[in-house]
Amino acid sequence: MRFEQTMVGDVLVAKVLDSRIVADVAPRFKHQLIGYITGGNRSIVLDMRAVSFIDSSGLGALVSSLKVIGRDGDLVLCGTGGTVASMFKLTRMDKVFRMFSTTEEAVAALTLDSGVSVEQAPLSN
Amino acid sequence: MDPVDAYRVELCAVEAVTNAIRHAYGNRAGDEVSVTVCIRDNKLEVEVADTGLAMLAAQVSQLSTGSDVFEFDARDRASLPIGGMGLQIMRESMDEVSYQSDGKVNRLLLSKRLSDQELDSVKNNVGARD
Repeated sequence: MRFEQTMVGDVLVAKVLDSRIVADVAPRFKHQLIGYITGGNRSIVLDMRAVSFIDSSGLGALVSSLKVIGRDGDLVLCGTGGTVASMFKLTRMDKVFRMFSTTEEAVAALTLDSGVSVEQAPLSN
Repeated sequence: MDPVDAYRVELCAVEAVTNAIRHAYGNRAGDEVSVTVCIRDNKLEVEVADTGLAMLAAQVSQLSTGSDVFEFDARDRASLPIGGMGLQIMRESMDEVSYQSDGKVNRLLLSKRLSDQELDSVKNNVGARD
Protein backbone atom coordinates (compact mmCIF):
# COMPACT_ATOMS: atom_id res chain seq x y z
CA MET A 1 0.00 0.00 0.00
CA ARG A 2 1.23 3.47 -0.82
CA PHE A 3 0.42 6.50 1.32
CA GLU A 4 1.32 10.17 1.34
CA GLN A 5 1.40 11.78 4.77
CA THR A 6 1.09 15.40 5.88
CA MET A 7 0.84 16.88 9.38
CA VAL A 8 -1.64 19.73 9.75
CA GLY A 9 -1.16 20.91 13.31
CA ASP A 10 -1.69 17.79 15.40
CA VAL A 11 -3.76 16.10 12.70
CA LEU A 12 -2.17 13.49 10.47
CA VAL A 13 -3.56 13.51 6.94
CA ALA A 14 -2.78 10.19 5.25
CA LYS A 15 -3.69 9.97 1.59
CA VAL A 16 -4.18 6.49 0.18
CA LEU A 17 -2.54 6.35 -3.24
CA ASP A 18 -3.83 2.91 -4.30
CA SER A 19 -7.24 2.51 -5.89
CA ARG A 20 -8.26 -0.89 -4.49
CA ILE A 21 -8.27 -1.97 -0.84
CA VAL A 22 -9.08 -5.68 -0.92
CA ALA A 23 -8.04 -8.86 0.87
CA ASP A 24 -4.52 -9.14 -0.55
CA VAL A 25 -3.46 -5.66 0.60
CA ALA A 26 -5.73 -5.27 3.66
CA PRO A 27 -3.13 -6.61 6.16
CA ARG A 28 -0.58 -4.03 4.96
CA PHE A 29 -3.25 -1.32 4.99
CA LYS A 30 -4.10 -2.19 8.60
CA HIS A 31 -0.42 -2.40 9.58
CA GLN A 32 0.20 1.09 8.21
CA LEU A 33 -2.81 2.62 9.96
CA ILE A 34 -1.99 1.00 13.28
CA GLY A 35 1.60 2.17 12.83
CA TYR A 36 0.33 5.75 12.66
CA ILE A 37 -1.60 5.24 15.90
CA THR A 38 1.15 3.48 17.85
CA GLY A 39 3.48 6.21 16.56
CA GLY A 40 1.50 8.68 18.64
CA ASN A 41 -1.08 10.04 16.19
CA ARG A 42 -4.53 10.38 17.75
CA SER A 43 -6.22 12.55 15.13
CA ILE A 44 -6.07 10.97 11.70
CA VAL A 45 -7.72 11.94 8.42
CA LEU A 46 -7.65 9.19 5.83
CA ASP A 47 -7.96 10.70 2.37
CA MET A 48 -9.72 8.08 0.23
CA ARG A 49 -10.16 10.14 -2.93
CA ALA A 50 -8.01 7.75 -4.96
CA VAL A 51 -9.85 4.66 -3.70
CA SER A 52 -12.45 3.31 -6.12
CA PHE A 53 -13.03 -0.10 -4.50
CA ILE A 54 -12.95 -1.43 -0.96
CA ASP A 55 -14.14 -4.85 0.23
CA SER A 56 -14.99 -6.17 3.70
CA SER A 57 -11.31 -6.93 4.39
CA GLY A 58 -10.42 -3.29 3.79
CA LEU A 59 -13.35 -2.20 5.90
CA GLY A 60 -12.25 -4.59 8.65
CA ALA A 61 -8.78 -2.97 8.60
CA LEU A 62 -10.37 0.46 9.09
CA VAL A 63 -12.53 -0.80 11.96
CA SER A 64 -9.53 -2.50 13.59
CA SER A 65 -7.68 0.80 13.49
CA LEU A 66 -10.63 2.61 15.06
CA LYS A 67 -10.66 0.05 17.86
CA VAL A 68 -6.95 0.62 18.49
CA ILE A 69 -7.52 4.37 18.79
CA GLY A 70 -10.43 3.68 21.14
CA ARG A 71 -11.87 6.70 22.88
CA ASP A 72 -8.55 8.47 22.88
CA GLY A 73 -8.79 9.95 19.38
CA ASP A 74 -10.46 9.61 16.03
CA LEU A 75 -9.91 8.33 12.53
CA VAL A 76 -12.11 10.13 10.03
CA LEU A 77 -12.45 9.75 6.28
CA CYS A 78 -12.64 12.12 3.38
CA GLY A 79 -13.20 11.68 -0.35
CA THR A 80 -15.39 8.58 0.03
CA GLY A 81 -17.85 9.45 -2.68
CA GLY A 82 -20.16 7.46 -4.93
CA THR A 83 -19.79 3.71 -4.95
CA VAL A 84 -17.24 3.54 -2.11
CA ALA A 85 -19.63 5.51 0.11
CA SER A 86 -22.33 2.98 -0.79
CA MET A 87 -20.16 0.22 0.72
CA PHE A 88 -20.10 2.09 4.05
CA LYS A 89 -23.87 2.52 3.88
CA LEU A 90 -24.48 -1.14 3.02
CA THR A 91 -22.50 -2.25 6.08
CA ARG A 92 -23.84 0.57 8.30
CA MET A 93 -20.26 1.80 8.75
CA ASP A 94 -21.49 5.23 7.63
CA LYS A 95 -22.84 5.44 11.21
CA VAL A 96 -19.39 4.64 12.60
CA PHE A 97 -16.96 6.73 10.57
CA ARG A 98 -17.27 10.47 10.23
CA MET A 99 -16.94 11.28 6.52
CA PHE A 100 -16.09 14.60 4.94
CA SER A 101 -15.94 15.88 1.37
CA THR A 102 -12.52 17.50 1.69
CA THR A 103 -9.40 17.11 3.82
CA GLU A 104 -9.83 20.71 4.97
CA GLU A 105 -13.26 19.99 6.43
CA ALA A 106 -11.98 16.80 8.07
CA VAL A 107 -8.95 18.54 9.57
CA ALA A 108 -11.13 21.40 10.82
CA ALA A 109 -13.46 18.94 12.56
CA LEU A 110 -10.62 17.08 14.28
CA THR A 111 -8.88 20.33 15.20
CA LEU A 112 -12.10 21.53 16.77
CA ASP A 113 -12.30 18.21 18.69
CA SER A 114 -8.82 18.59 20.13
CA GLY A 115 -8.77 22.39 20.37
CA VAL A 116 -5.35 22.75 18.73
CA SER A 117 -4.08 25.35 16.25
CA VAL A 118 -3.42 24.46 12.61
CA GLU A 119 0.02 24.68 11.02
CA GLN A 120 0.85 22.58 7.98
CA ALA A 121 4.10 20.64 7.71
CA PRO A 122 4.72 17.96 5.03
CA LEU A 123 6.26 14.69 6.19
CA SER A 124 8.73 12.59 4.29
CA ASN A 125 7.46 9.05 3.62
CA MET B 1 -26.31 -1.10 -14.75
CA ASP B 2 -26.40 1.49 -12.00
CA PRO B 3 -22.83 2.08 -10.73
CA VAL B 4 -23.78 1.15 -7.15
CA ASP B 5 -25.41 -2.11 -8.32
CA ALA B 6 -22.37 -2.88 -10.48
CA TYR B 7 -20.07 -2.20 -7.51
CA ARG B 8 -22.09 -4.57 -5.35
CA VAL B 9 -21.98 -7.38 -7.90
CA GLU B 10 -18.20 -7.00 -8.15
CA LEU B 11 -18.00 -6.77 -4.35
CA CYS B 12 -19.92 -10.03 -3.93
CA ALA B 13 -17.70 -11.80 -6.45
CA VAL B 14 -14.60 -10.52 -4.62
CA GLU B 15 -16.01 -11.59 -1.24
CA ALA B 16 -16.88 -15.06 -2.58
CA VAL B 17 -13.42 -15.59 -4.07
CA THR B 18 -11.77 -14.36 -0.86
CA ASN B 19 -13.91 -16.77 1.17
CA ALA B 20 -12.92 -19.67 -1.11
CA ILE B 21 -9.22 -18.85 -0.78
CA ARG B 22 -9.40 -18.39 3.00
CA HIS B 23 -11.85 -21.05 4.07
CA ALA B 24 -11.98 -23.69 1.32
CA TYR B 25 -8.22 -23.68 0.78
CA GLY B 26 -6.94 -22.23 4.08
CA ASN B 27 -4.94 -19.57 2.17
CA ARG B 28 -2.93 -22.36 0.49
CA ALA B 29 -1.46 -21.35 -2.85
CA GLY B 30 -1.84 -23.34 -6.05
CA ASP B 31 -5.52 -24.27 -5.97
CA GLU B 32 -8.18 -23.07 -8.35
CA VAL B 33 -11.17 -20.81 -7.84
CA SER B 34 -13.28 -20.41 -10.95
CA VAL B 35 -15.63 -17.48 -11.60
CA THR B 36 -18.27 -17.82 -14.30
CA VAL B 37 -20.47 -14.90 -15.30
CA CYS B 38 -23.51 -15.28 -17.53
CA ILE B 39 -26.90 -13.78 -18.33
CA ARG B 40 -29.72 -16.27 -17.88
CA ASP B 41 -33.48 -15.73 -17.64
CA ASN B 42 -33.11 -11.95 -17.35
CA LYS B 43 -30.65 -12.38 -14.50
CA LEU B 44 -26.95 -11.73 -14.12
CA GLU B 45 -25.44 -14.84 -12.59
CA VAL B 46 -21.99 -15.15 -11.02
CA GLU B 47 -20.86 -18.62 -10.01
CA VAL B 48 -17.79 -19.00 -7.80
CA ALA B 49 -16.55 -22.59 -7.56
CA ASP B 50 -13.76 -24.28 -5.64
CA THR B 51 -12.68 -27.83 -4.83
CA GLY B 52 -11.62 -27.25 -1.23
CA LEU B 53 -13.45 -27.66 2.06
CA ALA B 54 -17.19 -27.04 1.85
CA MET B 55 -18.84 -24.25 3.82
CA LEU B 56 -20.17 -25.19 7.24
CA ALA B 57 -23.93 -25.81 7.48
CA ALA B 58 -24.31 -22.80 9.77
CA GLN B 59 -22.72 -20.54 7.16
CA VAL B 60 -24.90 -21.96 4.38
CA SER B 61 -28.04 -21.35 6.42
CA GLN B 62 -26.82 -17.80 7.11
CA LEU B 63 -27.15 -17.13 3.39
CA SER B 64 -30.93 -17.56 3.67
CA THR B 65 -31.60 -16.49 7.25
CA GLY B 66 -29.10 -13.63 7.46
CA SER B 67 -26.93 -12.64 10.40
CA ASP B 68 -26.80 -9.77 12.87
CA VAL B 69 -23.25 -8.75 11.92
CA PHE B 70 -24.41 -5.23 11.02
CA GLU B 71 -26.68 -4.85 14.07
CA PHE B 72 -23.95 -3.23 16.13
CA ASP B 73 -24.01 -0.19 18.36
CA ALA B 74 -22.20 2.40 16.23
CA ARG B 75 -21.13 4.33 19.36
CA ASP B 76 -19.47 1.30 20.94
CA ARG B 77 -16.24 0.81 19.00
CA ALA B 78 -15.44 -2.41 20.87
CA SER B 79 -18.62 -4.01 19.48
CA LEU B 80 -17.86 -3.30 15.83
CA PRO B 81 -17.24 -6.27 13.51
CA ILE B 82 -13.86 -6.64 11.82
CA GLY B 83 -14.79 -9.79 9.88
CA GLY B 84 -17.64 -12.14 9.05
CA MET B 85 -19.28 -9.54 6.83
CA GLY B 86 -18.91 -11.21 3.43
CA LEU B 87 -21.92 -13.55 3.51
CA GLN B 88 -24.24 -10.84 4.80
CA ILE B 89 -22.99 -8.43 2.12
CA MET B 90 -23.89 -11.06 -0.50
CA ARG B 91 -27.30 -11.66 1.04
CA GLU B 92 -28.15 -7.96 1.12
CA SER B 93 -26.72 -7.12 -2.31
CA MET B 94 -28.00 -9.92 -4.53
CA ASP B 95 -31.53 -11.09 -5.29
CA GLU B 96 -30.62 -14.74 -4.75
CA VAL B 97 -27.63 -16.50 -3.21
CA SER B 98 -27.40 -20.27 -3.18
CA TYR B 99 -24.71 -22.80 -2.33
CA GLN B 100 -24.23 -26.39 -3.37
CA SER B 101 -21.54 -28.92 -2.66
CA ASP B 102 -21.36 -32.42 -4.15
CA GLY B 103 -18.35 -33.40 -2.06
CA LYS B 104 -15.96 -32.51 -4.88
CA VAL B 105 -16.94 -29.10 -6.17
CA ASN B 106 -18.45 -26.29 -4.09
CA ARG B 107 -20.53 -23.77 -6.01
CA LEU B 108 -21.78 -20.43 -4.75
CA LEU B 109 -24.30 -18.87 -7.10
CA LEU B 110 -24.99 -15.14 -6.93
CA SER B 111 -27.91 -13.87 -8.94
CA LYS B 112 -29.26 -10.40 -9.68
CA ARG B 113 -32.32 -9.53 -11.77
CA LEU B 114 -31.69 -7.17 -14.68
CA SER B 115 -34.11 -4.57 -15.96
CA ASP B 116 -35.09 -4.57 -19.65
CA GLN B 117 -32.86 -1.54 -20.11
CA GLU B 118 -29.90 -3.33 -18.50
CA LEU B 119 -30.50 -6.38 -20.70
CA ASP B 120 -30.57 -4.22 -23.82
CA SER B 121 -27.35 -2.57 -22.73
CA VAL B 122 -25.65 -5.96 -22.32
CA LYS B 123 -26.87 -7.13 -25.76
CA ASN B 124 -25.63 -3.92 -27.38
CA ASN B 125 -22.22 -4.23 -25.72
CA VAL B 126 -21.89 -7.86 -26.78
CA GLY B 127 -22.96 -6.90 -30.29
CA ALA B 128 -20.43 -4.07 -30.38
CA ARG B 129 -17.60 -6.51 -29.63
CA ASP B 130 -18.62 -9.06 -32.33
